[in-house]
Amino acid sequence: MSSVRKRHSFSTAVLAAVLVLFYAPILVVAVNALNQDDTLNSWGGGTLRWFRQILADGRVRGDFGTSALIAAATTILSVAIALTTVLAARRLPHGGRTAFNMITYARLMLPEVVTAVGLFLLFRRFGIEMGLVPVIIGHTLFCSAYATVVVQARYAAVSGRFSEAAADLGAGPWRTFRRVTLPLLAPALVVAGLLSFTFSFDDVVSSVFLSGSSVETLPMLMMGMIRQRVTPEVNAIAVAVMTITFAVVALVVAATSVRAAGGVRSSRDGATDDE
Amino acid sequence: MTNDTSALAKAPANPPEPATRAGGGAPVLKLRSLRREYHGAAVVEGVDLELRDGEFFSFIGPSGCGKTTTLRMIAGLEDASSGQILLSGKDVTKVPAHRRNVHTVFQSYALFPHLTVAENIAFGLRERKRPDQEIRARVSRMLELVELTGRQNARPRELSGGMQQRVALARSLVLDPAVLLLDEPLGALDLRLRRQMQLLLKTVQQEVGITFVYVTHDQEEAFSMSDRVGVMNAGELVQVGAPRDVYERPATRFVADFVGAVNQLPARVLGRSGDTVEADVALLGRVRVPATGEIGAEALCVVRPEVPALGPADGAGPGCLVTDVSFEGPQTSVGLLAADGIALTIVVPSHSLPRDLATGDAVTVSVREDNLWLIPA
Amino acid sequence: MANLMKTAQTKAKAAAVRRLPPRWGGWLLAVPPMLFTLLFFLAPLVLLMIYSFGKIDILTFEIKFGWNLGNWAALGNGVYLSGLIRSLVLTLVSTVLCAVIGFPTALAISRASGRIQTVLLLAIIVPYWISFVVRNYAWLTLLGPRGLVTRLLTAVHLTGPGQDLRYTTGAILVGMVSSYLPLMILPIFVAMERIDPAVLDAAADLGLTALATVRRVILPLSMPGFIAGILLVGIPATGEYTIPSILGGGKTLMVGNIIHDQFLGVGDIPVGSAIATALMGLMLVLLLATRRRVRQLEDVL
Repeated sequence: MSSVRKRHSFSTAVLAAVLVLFYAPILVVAVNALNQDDTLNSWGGGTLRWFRQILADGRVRGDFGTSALIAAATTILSVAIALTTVLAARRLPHGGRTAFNMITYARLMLPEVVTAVGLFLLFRRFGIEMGLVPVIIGHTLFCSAYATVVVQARYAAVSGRFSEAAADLGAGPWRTFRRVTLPLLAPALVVAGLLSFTFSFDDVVSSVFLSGSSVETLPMLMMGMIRQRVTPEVNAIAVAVMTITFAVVALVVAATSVRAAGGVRSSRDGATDDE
Repeated sequence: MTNDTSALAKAPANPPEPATRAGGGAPVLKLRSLRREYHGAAVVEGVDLELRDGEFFSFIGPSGCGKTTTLRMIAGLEDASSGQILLSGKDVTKVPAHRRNVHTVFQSYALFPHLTVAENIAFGLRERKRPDQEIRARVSRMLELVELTGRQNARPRELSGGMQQRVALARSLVLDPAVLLLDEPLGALDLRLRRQMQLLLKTVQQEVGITFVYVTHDQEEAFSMSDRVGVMNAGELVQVGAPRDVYERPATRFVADFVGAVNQLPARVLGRSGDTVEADVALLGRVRVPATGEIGAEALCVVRPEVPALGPADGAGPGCLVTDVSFEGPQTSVGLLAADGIALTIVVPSHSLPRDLATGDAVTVSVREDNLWLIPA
Repeated sequence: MANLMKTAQTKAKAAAVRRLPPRWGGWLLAVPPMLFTLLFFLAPLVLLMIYSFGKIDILTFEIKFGWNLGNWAALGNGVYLSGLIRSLVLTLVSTVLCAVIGFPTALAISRASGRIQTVLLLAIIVPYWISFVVRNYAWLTLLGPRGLVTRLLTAVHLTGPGQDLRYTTGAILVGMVSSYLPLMILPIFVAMERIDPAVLDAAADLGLTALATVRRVILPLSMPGFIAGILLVGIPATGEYTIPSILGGGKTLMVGNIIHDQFLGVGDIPVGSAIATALMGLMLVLLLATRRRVRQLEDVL
């Protein structure tokens, strides 16, 4: 029996170490955002100075807006693509469905540099200037893949027999979609949207390659600031973004269910004691 | 369709009115040479059937025989590869599911998880844009009928399997379908619940007077509930008839096996006269036996397990040795070995057996000729 | 009998693929995503391959196309080759580390129950939603001469005092592992959850200790999760750009940075395309090699 306890404590220790690994950097950033000492070598006392500084900085505000705009556009496009992909794939013959799946996973797994650089060439070739739209397209490429996976998982668990039952009871295709499929998909769509927004907002690679000279996103700004020197404002920006992300996620988690936000397991609500 | 739900006043059933059972008139459902293919192989083949209004009909057969596929074709959830489906005289073969006046109770109930019980039941009515008041009235009458009054605001996941079943039934029934289809609805329930639901279904059907088409692999269940049954095998409808007819007069060896007529003795046909055949049956000798039409020179004589009577070793009839005695409660199953190595399994009321009957005892069996039946070999 | 088997088989196959009647215009729905993918995903990849065979004129910056293998030869050149190899080694080490650390972590989570488990899962996922930039920037602070981690390591005599641990290969490794670990933990966890608890009971019943059960039952049965994790981590990590930029300082350390320099820096686009195509090819090979497992990936995701 002691061997059981031993194994338990080893994996638990690893788990604890991992959690420290994840959250220590975040905590440091948060603490330093309030640190008076601008060399960040020691604690110089608490202050909100850095937050005031970034709020006053027009460039920071501008880039925040740009990132948010891009993320919003990306989210709408990505969720739309995810929804149409999932709905279409169901109606295609087996070969078509496999092709769709492969392309979705390829987008997820191919390194972002490759896809970004490819898009760079594409736009250059057709004389399209780098800027807002190319960045949005670059983000949508991989965000839509994530969105598709999330929606697909929920759709598989949820449709099929319900749309059959709806048809049996007199609802045509559009009515079935509106009254049954869409409401049941809603949680997944929300999670997909959240994912897309977050990944787009935080994206670096595609933004760097496709933004050209006129567009700058918040992550790009932060990268630049980091390269120049260690500056405490970056901490403040980071904390601001983190807080907003947490707030939104908390809202969504409260609204739907905790498992839906995790997106790991398919939701079991409505499961009947069936086959 | 005039199966007016206003007739469903109270939940407890009134004694069935003969007029609503197997009512006369034109067939409400007609299947003509129905066929369904998958990748070139026929899953349903050449199904012809006519159902009368108010009839309780069951498709029975082993897994994979095509009964569920046939049901889904009637519902419109699957396309027929060829053939016709006529509903109340109208050809609905090409009509999509959502425009047919048939509704299904699914095996997994398929209750919409995001809607309450009442909203589930009202789903089809809302689709037809019925006024709110009417919907509310019809839904509450349905709830009474299936004995779920008071549960209208519950969600499906809060209900037990049996209750979800009843909601599924109510949801389809409230729409006054010409035909109600039930796809193995009781499969997920335990024995006690299943018996209760069988009773409820039968009661409801008789009250409402709608034609039920039921699919099950449980022969006993089908027999106890149906006016007629259809036995399917490998996509074909092999025999249709009242339960008793199918049981006592199976048309083929398959049907005989399926309904449990395990004793099939080889027989040589000697002559025919009208409905009976004179044959030389192994073990039983020359008998005059009722038979179906297409008997050749060789046939099989079906001896249902409950037909033979057991007698003492010096009694009339061929002698056998007891090979096995299995007490099953009200009945006992006895295995017998006769001359020529013929094995029989018979079932007798337990109280009619001597208590000390054991393996190795010598007994005799006797049968009545008109309880025998001849089928093609 | 054979007839019965055949109809049962076709029926089972049909039931598995049971799809809605095609009259719902499914093909219409497929057009937007197909168009998008074709135009912005497949076409660029093809372009990359074409450009990799082109040659750039240093004076006019014009690109001539043809079957020029010069770029590909350049890949064998020391400068690029060492960068590529370093990249691959770093990625390999990171992936292995993630797998080694991820497995016990997933195990610990799967042992937790109910609400705690949900909290733990969230705790693992949430950092992934915080930007790479922020997380890895934080490591800069921690690994600097006066950083907390440096001070800790000095205290246990693993390094000298005042050592600057930033901008080293080790720093990049730390950044990679801490960034990509959730992507390894989750698929393994999902695979573990799929294991029938009765199997674990059977193992105990047959006399396996807890440790042996982990090694001989849980580990092999979690393989689909491992494969998924390795693909989800290994492939994107190869092309990682952000982490080496931040934690590697200005030095070009990984493939992502090399490609960046070719395109936006030096401007030798054909060579950059060749490198990118090589990367793509490598990924495709990996994907094809694990093709059968991709179906399991679908389950796991």
